[in-house]
This record gives sequence, structure tokens and C-alpha cells, in this order.
Amino acid sequence: MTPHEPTREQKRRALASGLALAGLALAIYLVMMFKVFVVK
Amino acid sequence: MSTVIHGHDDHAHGNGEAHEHHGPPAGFTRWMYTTNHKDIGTMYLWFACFMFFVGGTMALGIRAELFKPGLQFFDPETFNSLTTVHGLVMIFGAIMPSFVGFANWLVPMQIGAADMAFPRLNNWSFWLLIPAALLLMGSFLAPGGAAGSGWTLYPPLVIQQGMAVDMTILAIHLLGASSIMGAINIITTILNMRAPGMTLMKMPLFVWTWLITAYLLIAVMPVLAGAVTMLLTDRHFGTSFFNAAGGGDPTMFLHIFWFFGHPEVYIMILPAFGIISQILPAFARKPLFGYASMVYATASIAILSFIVWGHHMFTVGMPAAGNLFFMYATLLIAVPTGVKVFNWIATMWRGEMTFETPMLFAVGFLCLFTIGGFSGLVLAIVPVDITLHNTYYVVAHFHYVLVSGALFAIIGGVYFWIPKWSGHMYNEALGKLHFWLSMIGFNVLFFPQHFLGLAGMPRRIPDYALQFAEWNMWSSIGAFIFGFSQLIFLYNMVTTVRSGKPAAQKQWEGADSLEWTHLPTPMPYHTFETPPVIK
Repeated sequence: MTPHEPTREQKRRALASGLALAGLALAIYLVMMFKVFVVK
Repeated sequence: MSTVIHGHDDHAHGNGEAHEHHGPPAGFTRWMYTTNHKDIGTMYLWFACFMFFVGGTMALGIRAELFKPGLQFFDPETFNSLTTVHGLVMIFGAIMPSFVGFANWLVPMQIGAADMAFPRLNNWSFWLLIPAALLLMGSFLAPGGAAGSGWTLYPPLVIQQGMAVDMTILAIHLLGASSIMGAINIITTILNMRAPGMTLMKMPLFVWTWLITAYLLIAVMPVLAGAVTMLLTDRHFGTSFFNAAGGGDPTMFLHIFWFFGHPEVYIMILPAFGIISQILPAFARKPLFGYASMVYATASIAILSFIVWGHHMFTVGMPAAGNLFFMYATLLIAVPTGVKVFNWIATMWRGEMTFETPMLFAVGFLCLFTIGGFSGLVLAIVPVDITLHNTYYVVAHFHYVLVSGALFAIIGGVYFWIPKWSGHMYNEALGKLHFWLSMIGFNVLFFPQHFLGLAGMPRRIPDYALQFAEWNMWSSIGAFIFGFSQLIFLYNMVTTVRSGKPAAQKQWEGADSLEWTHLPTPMPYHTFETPPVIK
């Protein structure tokens, strides 16, 4: 089977985009938890 | 959509057949280890189908219990567990995974990509659903039975229940992680993997609606995760976030939950809008009316969804100014939604329409979803909602949105794309029978619930006063018509996949997205390894 190979540029941008989005999700979770803990 | 396909018929077999000999590996390992977006899409869809029947069986249990006053089959605790797990299964196990299945199948093909951006992550996203489903279903076996707090998991009840709640919380964490990973994958794929010339404003509406939905998922699933983590620490680690006995505030949970919960409603309906926006133009044989306004309306609905959560909790005692803000913000959503409904009707206006099964479900969606939208406007009005809160009017409203909205779009979408996915044509007569039985059954099931709600019947009760008996009987009759008519759908799909007549390369003459114009039927295992050129 010949796997499809994205270009190097696509890989780089996909990685950057994936990390940024995962970081965003994690940040939302942490900010909310942290804020509630501080308020408490 | 203004996409102009470059020499599409000449290329109809060019991108697929060159690699047709690269078939999938055989056996269970194909599905266990697959990174192919079509395989993963298929697994999502069959998983959602299974969970749909699981949740549907619970719904029929609920309606059987409510057929007449008095306790027939279930004790009140089991009844509460049934309503709770029915909601969770249908939302997280049926509706959301089926839309992710559609996204897996369609997003790469509609933008001219070979696969998703992160194929291994895609595999993981799917397989996380299995332990989550097992935890959710297995919680019925826990001491005290499954969670009975309603799918909203409100404290203090949820803090007092047994280990089934912990299993539910863990299941929600897994489902949330799966959704976030799926959303990351979809956004990255759409922004990074489009074929040359496929600009954002040339993408089919289904891709647009999923791009916006994926952002909603990333924004709100961590909020749900935070809320249920705090429930967990309240239950086991001595905190009192939501426990009034320890100085906590149960109302805070409502705010946090519905900050997730209302965008979640749009997570379940925006991809449905995308599917309908593909089906209607195909059978009206006209381009979608107002493509750009559809995109902006979808984005507006998504943005507004973040500032309306308070309309789920008008009765908790927010200040009048707060209630008014949430009321007006909610009413504002009618504007972009109205734009969409107008555009769908304008798309059909003077079109050369035919009414094959996908079109029937799309028109059914349009009529019934609009009823659900209108009852939503009724509920958005604070003094009315204070009266109708927690009654069957609310149950009727959200089932018009989620069953005749999201589910009808899913079913219509399956009928629309199954010829392309499987290479086989479904049985049209059975499809039409399925539609009409669903249409009649659905309305007999849910329309009387408006009357029950207006008369004051509360939701989530196993028994009721005698004056509610007649409409409950009709509602239960409708439920069984609707429920059993879905077996026709299952039979039709299984026979289509196994032995349906061969489908044409472009089964619907009005369909204009890349999977119809550029790819052969049946679909090869790998597609668009060489990206198409879009002009």
C-alpha cells in the first residue's frame, strides 16, 4: 500500500496547528479550574 | 457555492482507480489499526447507529412506562436512570459520533485531501468511544443503578448518588477527549489540506459548518471536563464547589454546565445545517441560495451561542437584568437562523425538484426544525419560561430540534451519500416508507407533549395525574411507530451495503461537490492522492 505523504510544509503547519489547538483546549480547562480554585 | 470544477468528467476515474489495487487489509486488524478516514468514518457511523438503537430502546421503555398513569414496569429510580442515560447516550453516543462519521467520510473528499491531517489521532479518537460507552452502559450494573440526575448532572443529587456517577464522569471525560482530538483533526485538515484552488469560500457548506463546529468543541468541551472534574472532587476529595453544606454553590454548576451546554446544542445542529445545505440544492437542481450569507449566519449562530446560556436557568433567581440580557440575546439567534431557513426555501424556489428519500428528509427537517425553533423562541421569553420550565413543553421543544433536526439530517445524509460510500443504491420504496412512518410517528410522539407541557406536566416523572393520560397515550403510540420504523432504515442500509444495486458515479444529477464529480463509484480505498485542481 502506498501511503499518502503530505508535503513537509503541510506536516509542519499541521503540527503547529494541532499543538496550538490542543494548547487552547488545555488552557481553557486550566484557566477555569484555576479561577474556581482561587475564588474558593 | 461558486466552485467551478476543472474538467470534472474527464477526471472522474483518474484520481481513484490508479490506486484501486491498494485494498484494505483483511479482518479485525483492518478496523483496529486503520488510519483511513473512510474506515474510521464507517466505524463512527455504525457505532452511532448501535448507540441510537440502545438509546432508542431506553426511550421506548420510558414511553411504555408513561403509556398510562401509575407505575407499570420500572421503579422511580430506574426510570430516572433511563431518562439520564437515554440523554447521554443519544447526545454523546449517537448524534455527535454520527456527525464525526460524516466529517471523516466527507471533509477530506470535499476539500480534495487524501486523508485527515492526523490519521493516528483519528483512530484513537474513535476507539476512545468504546470504553466510554461501556462505562456508561455498565453503570446500570453499579450498586444503586445508573446515574439518575438527568443528563445535566445537577448537584446536589449527583453528589449524593453511588459509583455509577463516577463511571458516568469518567465516560464524559473520555468522550470529551475524543471530541477535542476529533475537532483538532478537523480544523487542521480543513485549514491545511485543501486542494490547490479550494479557497475557504469555495468549500461546500458541510465543510464550513464542521469547521465552525470544531471550534465550538474546542472552546466548550474543556469547560464540561472542568465541571465534571469539580463534581468528582466534591464527591471524593473533600471540596465543596457545588455542595451548599460545605459553603459551595449548586447554581455555579448550572452556569458552568450551560456555558458548555448551549454551544453543545449548536454542535449538534450546525453539521445538520451543512448536510441539509448539500441535499436541498442537489434535488432542487439549483446552486445554494446565498452561500456567503449561509457561512456568516453559521458563524453568527456559533458566536451568539456563547452568550445565551442563562436561558436554561431563568428560574434560579438571577437578577432581572441578567434574565433580560439572556432573553434578548436568545431572541437574536432567530435572525441568522431565519437567514438560513429563508435561503433554504429560496434554494427550492422554482427549482426542478424531485423528492427522493434524502430530499424528503431534508424537507421534513425544514418544516419540523422550524417548529422546534419557534417553540425555542416561546421558551426564550422569561415570564413564559418561568411557567413552562421543567415541563413537557421543553421536552417537545428540544426533541423537535434534535430528532427532527439533527437526526432527520443524519438519516437524510446517509440516504444521500450511501450510494457513493457503499457503491450500492438503497431501496427507494423502503426509504419513502421509512420517511413517512418517521414523519407521522415523530409528530404523534412529540406534538402532544406541547399540550402536556402547557397543561403543566413536569418532565422526568414515572407517574402523572389523570388529566395527562390521553395525550401521554398518544405520545407513546407515536413513540412505538417512530421507534419500530427505524428498523426499516437499519434493514434498508444493511441490504444496501451487502447486496444493493450498483450506484452511478454521480447518483444525484444536481450534486456538485468533489466526491460526486471527481471520484468513481464504488469509492476506492485511497482518494485524491494527487490533489484535484479547483478553478
